[in-house]
Amino acid sequence: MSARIALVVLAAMLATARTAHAHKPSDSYLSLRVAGTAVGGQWDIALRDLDYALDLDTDGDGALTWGEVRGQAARITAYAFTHLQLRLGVLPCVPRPADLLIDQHSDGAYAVLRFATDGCEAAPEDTSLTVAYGLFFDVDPTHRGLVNVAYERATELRASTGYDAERGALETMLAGRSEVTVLGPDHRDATFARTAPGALATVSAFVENGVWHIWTGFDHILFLVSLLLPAVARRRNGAWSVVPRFGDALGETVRVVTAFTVAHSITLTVAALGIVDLPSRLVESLIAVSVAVAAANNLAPVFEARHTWRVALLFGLIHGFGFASVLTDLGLGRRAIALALVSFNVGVELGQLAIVTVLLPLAFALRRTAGFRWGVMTAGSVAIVLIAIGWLGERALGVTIF
Amino acid sequence: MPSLGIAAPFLPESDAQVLERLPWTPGDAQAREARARRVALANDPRNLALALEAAHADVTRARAEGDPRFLGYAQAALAPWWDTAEPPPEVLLLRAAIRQSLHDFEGALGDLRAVLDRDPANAQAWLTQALIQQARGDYAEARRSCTRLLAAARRSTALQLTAFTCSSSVASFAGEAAHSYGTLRAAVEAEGDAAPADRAAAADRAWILGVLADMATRLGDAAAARIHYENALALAPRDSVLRTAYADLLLDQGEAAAALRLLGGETRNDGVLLRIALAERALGAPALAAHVADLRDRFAAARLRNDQRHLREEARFTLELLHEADAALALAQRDWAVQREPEDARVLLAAAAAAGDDAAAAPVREWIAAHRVEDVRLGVRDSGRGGGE
Repeated sequence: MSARIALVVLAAMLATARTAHAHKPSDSYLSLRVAGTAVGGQWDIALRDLDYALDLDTDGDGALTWGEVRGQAARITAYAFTHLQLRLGVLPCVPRPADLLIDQHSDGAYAVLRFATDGCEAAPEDTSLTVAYGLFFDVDPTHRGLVNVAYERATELRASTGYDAERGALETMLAGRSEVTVLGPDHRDATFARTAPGALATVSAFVENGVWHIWTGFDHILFLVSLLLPAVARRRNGAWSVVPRFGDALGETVRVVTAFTVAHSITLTVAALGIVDLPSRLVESLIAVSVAVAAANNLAPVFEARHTWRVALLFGLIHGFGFASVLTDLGLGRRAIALALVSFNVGVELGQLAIVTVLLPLAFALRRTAGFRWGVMTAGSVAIVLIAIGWLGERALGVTIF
Repeated sequence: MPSLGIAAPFLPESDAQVLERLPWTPGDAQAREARARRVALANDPRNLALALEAAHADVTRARAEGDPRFLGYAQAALAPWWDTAEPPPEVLLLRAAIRQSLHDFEGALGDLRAVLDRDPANAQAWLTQALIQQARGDYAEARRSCTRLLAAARRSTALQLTAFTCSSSVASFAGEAAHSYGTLRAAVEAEGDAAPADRAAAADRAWILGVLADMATRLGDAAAARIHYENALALAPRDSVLRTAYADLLLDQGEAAAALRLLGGETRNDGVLLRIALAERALGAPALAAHVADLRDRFAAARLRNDQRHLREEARFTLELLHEADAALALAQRDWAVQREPEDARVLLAAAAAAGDDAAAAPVREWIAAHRVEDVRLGVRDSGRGGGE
């Protein structure tokens, strides 16, 4: 090559100092999940890069079709997984490809390889995962693997279909997700330590989860509402009796809520610590019964008004067992449980308080109206009783009604 | 990685569905040659001539299309020599070019020093060094490099215009804008309008015309700059650097529709997409929101990888399209630590003004004063006569 040509090319090229090269460089995204000793993940690799290495565009028309990709799925997965080694401690986790999908990233289409692994199940529970990455470095040393690892606590990992997203998110938050680690030709290996979540992260995660649990736990809300409505108006000897002063309604509410809180805190604690272990079908059925009883009481008094707090106390014990199932489902270790328990309970109380704060003034304001008497207290209670009986059937008999 | 705004993976509905357009077309001669070279090189990886040819082609392509993957392919071709203690000078020159393009300026300058230690008359190394020094705002150093290039070019008339462009360009940044523009323009016109002999000569001419366009822009002569850009693009129609620079001029002139036509549909290129989005905002075009979201994702991806190349563009995006002045200022300051061109100065000044942080603009003001920088876009014209407009 002449000096002239070489100089010309470089001169033109170096004018790029004026603007940076502006396409996205080649990256792959490797997301790994470790649940106990089950390792699985998802690997997004740009189709353009796969084509460069494997010549996927078989008809050579410059357009890569799904037919061309699908027809060479075996080549793609074989190529990719010969450039990736996973190890849990010293035991190799051999990828077992589950499926090949496509995803559209901001810079083009990517092949999405989902996989489980075999061979490292026997590793000790707290072993860290090591990733050795070598994809594309021989054809493009500027390629990078962007890896993150989430340690989860669920005992089961369904690599092909993903997992319960909501629960997964919480577990991941608690168990710790690594920052993205960038692997390149000079830094091919990384070990992702299992880090215990910080105290603050645990507290905020569980407070949030507690609030969420009571807000989305329809049975707890219906129970509480059914018990609190009579604080502003109730049927007595076939006639409506309205509480005249807000202070009285507030006092009754505080009594009921306190009783409920004390009771469910006790059972939540003993259940979460594993001191008492009731079958969940029994607990869930009894919760349904409690809802039915509380609502029925608003139609035809089952217990006297001054005993409402005792009812809240009694059934609160049952609801506490229900709350505890959330924590035990997460399989928390002993170390984290005390903090998690307190935080979760605080979250439940905050969620409960929010409901009461909205509900009580509203009910008090409307307590003299016909809509409240017939719409809420009568029709509403009938509906709650029916729903609760439905739950009872569902939970006690294990059938799905609706 | 949810931070990237990635949608859910899906199973395409039919085999005929096109998932990706590859960066070449059927019957693409360049692509065919590149593929043949790759195959030959795979069979004979230590063939230096073949490796240099492949790497040259890839680096040129990386520049033309603004696509960094080709830099990686070039590096792969040079792999047998890349990490050796004393790579051949031709490899060092290409390694410097690749490192410079990846914004590893220190690494690039180190390679060039190694070449020049062994061969002090290497014109190519002096030119490369001058342009890196210019991009970093080291004008005194850049001027020295251009002088050495002129000396080296004395033996070859073919190199003289390139060497003259080098020194004119540096001088135009440092207090002699009008004079260096006039003399370079005269020199280019003296060469006449004869069609360039080959592709390389065309690229050379396009580069020189691009330098002229940039000088005219800084001097505030938009009409002349537009003619230079048009002439340059006629020689190098796929050149994304020329197109984005020309689009910036059109956007400054309030001609968003013309900018949009110029940019075409090359949305894979972040620099081009940024100008498309700016033009769309000016025109109130409906595609704006989607393009802003795309840019946001791409800059997020660059951050994940700790990519420094996008700082100028990201600062401008953050300032002009996201209207987040503080974040834009932080990006512009990081950019200024690496690159010192008028475009870097401009985004830093604008971000500092938007953030109400006058002190943040001080380094740019000092730079303007120290080098007698002239650029109407920075509010300084003919600073040799006292500065200001």
